[in-house]
Amino acid sequence: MMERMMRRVSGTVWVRISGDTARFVNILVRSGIFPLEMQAEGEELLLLIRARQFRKLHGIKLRTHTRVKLVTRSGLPFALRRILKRPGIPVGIVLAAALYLWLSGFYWCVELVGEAPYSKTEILSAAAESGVYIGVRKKEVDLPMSANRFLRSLPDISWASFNSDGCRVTLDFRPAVKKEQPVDKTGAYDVIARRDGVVKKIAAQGGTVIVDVNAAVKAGQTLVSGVALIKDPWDPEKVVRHLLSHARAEILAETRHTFSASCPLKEETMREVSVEERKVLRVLGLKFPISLKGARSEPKSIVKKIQLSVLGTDLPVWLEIQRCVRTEPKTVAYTTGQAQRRALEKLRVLQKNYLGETGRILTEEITFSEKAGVVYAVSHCTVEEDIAVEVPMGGTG
Amino acid sequence: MGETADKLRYSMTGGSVRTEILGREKLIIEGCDGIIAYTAQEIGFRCGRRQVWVHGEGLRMICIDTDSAVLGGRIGEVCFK
Repeated sequence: MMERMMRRVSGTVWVRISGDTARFVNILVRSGIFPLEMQAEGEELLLLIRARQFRKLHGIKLRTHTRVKLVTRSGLPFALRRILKRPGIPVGIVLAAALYLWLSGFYWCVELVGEAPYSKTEILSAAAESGVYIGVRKKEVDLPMSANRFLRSLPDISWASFNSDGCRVTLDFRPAVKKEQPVDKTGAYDVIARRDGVVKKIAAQGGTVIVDVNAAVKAGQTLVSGVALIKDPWDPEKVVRHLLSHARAEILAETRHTFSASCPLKEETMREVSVEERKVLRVLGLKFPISLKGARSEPKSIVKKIQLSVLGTDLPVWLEIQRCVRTEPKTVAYTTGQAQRRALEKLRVLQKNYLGETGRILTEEITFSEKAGVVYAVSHCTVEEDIAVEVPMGGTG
Repeated sequence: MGETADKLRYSMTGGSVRTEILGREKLIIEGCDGIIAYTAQEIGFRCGRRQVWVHGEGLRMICIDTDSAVLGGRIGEVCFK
């Protein structure tokens, strides 16, 4: 096999000898040219010799008065000569090799392995912020450092590692296991009022209830004490022991609140003038605009990305759809009625955020006023809410 | 001149020719200093004052050196003259 390879590399030629073939061969061998193969064709002889030895046949031909004819030639030197006649081919080969080597210096695939309470987009975005993304130069990336940065950006991931294999980076990660904090049942706690109000309903799970229903309480007043009184069963008036416990209770009370919201009569907004869509094909980090509509380089643009994937593997080829919205300022004027409605809507949002799921409005008085081009909506309302808050005994919460 | 030197060298070895036949397909000859004729039916070797002729069918020279040769094919007979 090595001999065959050497023949191909050095090049060989078949020559046809006619005349005194025996003498020709004798002199050929004594000259140090050993034929690789010999074939007899009637009175003629076919010799296979190395390409560089062909020139030496001329002297032997003259000496022996034989006829030497080149039949075929094969091997690398002749192939190179044919290739060099067309310079585009070697130039193309060199450019392709250079392109391949250059592209090998980038990461073209980021593969995710593992489960985490984040979407794929969030994880890839965090990986990109830590320095690992499709199209990044290998020399610019420090994988262990990037793994540390990645962990800091996503707190619900307990372990992560970037591993590279050629132009592919695999991100392995594991979710953090959250331990539920047990309810701290140690220590003595009181339940105090969060704000002033009139107690309407008491539901205590621990401790000693101090206040009665329909009693008026102040903010900070103890409602349920963490001191449990153990009484003599045969003498209810006699306290046998005092036990410190963790008081828990849900206490609904009527409280008063004032909410306010405003809406100006004239407002500056941005109006959409035109919407343009521009499609760009990204291949190996290079941009190729597809649509002829040129979107202006506006700061506001929404990008949608459609990734090409084959057999579940994302390729470094995707289509970007940029939606550019051109806006211009516009002054919007409201009538007094419209401004009042808008202010009332804001008021309702404030009330909902404050009351949450448990609170409700019992009575409400809404007033509107206008001052300096702004309409104000004020709501004085009576609200039913849970005013209980647990504090360590002796503390103020 | 080269041919004369080969004859001298051959004579200094005592003029011995070594012929080795492997079955019917291969023949190795040592002590020759050239070929006389080469066809597919017969190949003649010059060994000093002697000649060695190989007759057969499909004879071909596998390799040839200054004082030895290997030939293959269907060997019929080897004559020493």
